[in-house]
Amino acid sequence: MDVFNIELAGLTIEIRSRFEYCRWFSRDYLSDKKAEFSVFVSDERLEKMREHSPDIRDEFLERDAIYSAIASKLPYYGRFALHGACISHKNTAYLFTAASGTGKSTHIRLWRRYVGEDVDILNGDKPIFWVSENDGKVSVRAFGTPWCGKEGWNRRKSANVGAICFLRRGEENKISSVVPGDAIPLMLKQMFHPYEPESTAIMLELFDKMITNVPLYALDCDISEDAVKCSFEALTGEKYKRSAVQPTDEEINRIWRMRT
Amino acid sequence: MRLKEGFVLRRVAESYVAVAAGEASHEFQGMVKLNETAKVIWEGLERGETEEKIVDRLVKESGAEREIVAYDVREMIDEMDEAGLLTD
Repeated sequence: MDVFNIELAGLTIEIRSRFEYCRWFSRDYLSDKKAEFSVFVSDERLEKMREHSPDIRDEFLERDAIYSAIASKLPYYGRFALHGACISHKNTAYLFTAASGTGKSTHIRLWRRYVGEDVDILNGDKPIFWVSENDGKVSVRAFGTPWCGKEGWNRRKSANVGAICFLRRGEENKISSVVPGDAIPLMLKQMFHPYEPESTAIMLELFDKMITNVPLYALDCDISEDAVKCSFEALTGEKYKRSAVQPTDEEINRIWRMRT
Repeated sequence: MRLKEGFVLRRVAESYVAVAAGEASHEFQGMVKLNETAKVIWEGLERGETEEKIVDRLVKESGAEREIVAYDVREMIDEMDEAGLLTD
């Protein structure tokens, strides 16, 4: 059994893994601090996952089960995990969320290409959010994690969330505000639901604070520069200006996988 | 007839939202958005109350006509039963 600690969303978590792979996978997030809680995947759980996905190697199944176990505990610490692509721009985080295959990765890559170096990745697939309240003011902070989807885009850093954007493929590029009530079905589907009812209840309370305090938008977009201009101006409130240097897809992949 | 175990109901952005946790989430992965009336029905079924008792409460709270309330309650119970949310 390989036992090690990682720092995730400001928490120290002990991981007990059967395979050395998991330590390697989380290598940018290793920590020496005392763990707040510990996660482990039981043989029964792994066996269930094997039945469900017989073609996937045990190392990968365990890795994903570890994230589910972590996500189940997160609400007790004011945090939750969500399926979406999260970038930062000048120290503010923007979350793009939608069902798989809608084009989240494509859209954030276009941001990096056309807006330039001010845009960095936090997590391409499964960021963690921390909802905190100070003097009645709610803030939501997004964190990178090693669990970040097939592209491997992530950074061990964080930023306060400036806006959340629901992505839809469209013929033309247009963006509009979304009221919190309409965001519930769109977003709840993309959240990791904990095993325990107590944790699920806290997750819903955190979710309520998030959607009633962060500006929400729905974007219909194609894969053009105009799509970036459309979402960039609405989300950041800044005037769009094309970057002088425009990296290719491969270059962006390399930059966003690079360890910092 | 009562609600299956493992559902969590919370107020989210001016509505009530119910989601499944634990074992229940394997069978039911969606969410249910409820208004005030639906919330009263939901909580009644959670406590295992009879349909009649739930109707009584709603009539008392809303002052609406019993026949109309009973129709609404029946409709929602049917929908929940179809969605596999109820047990005997």
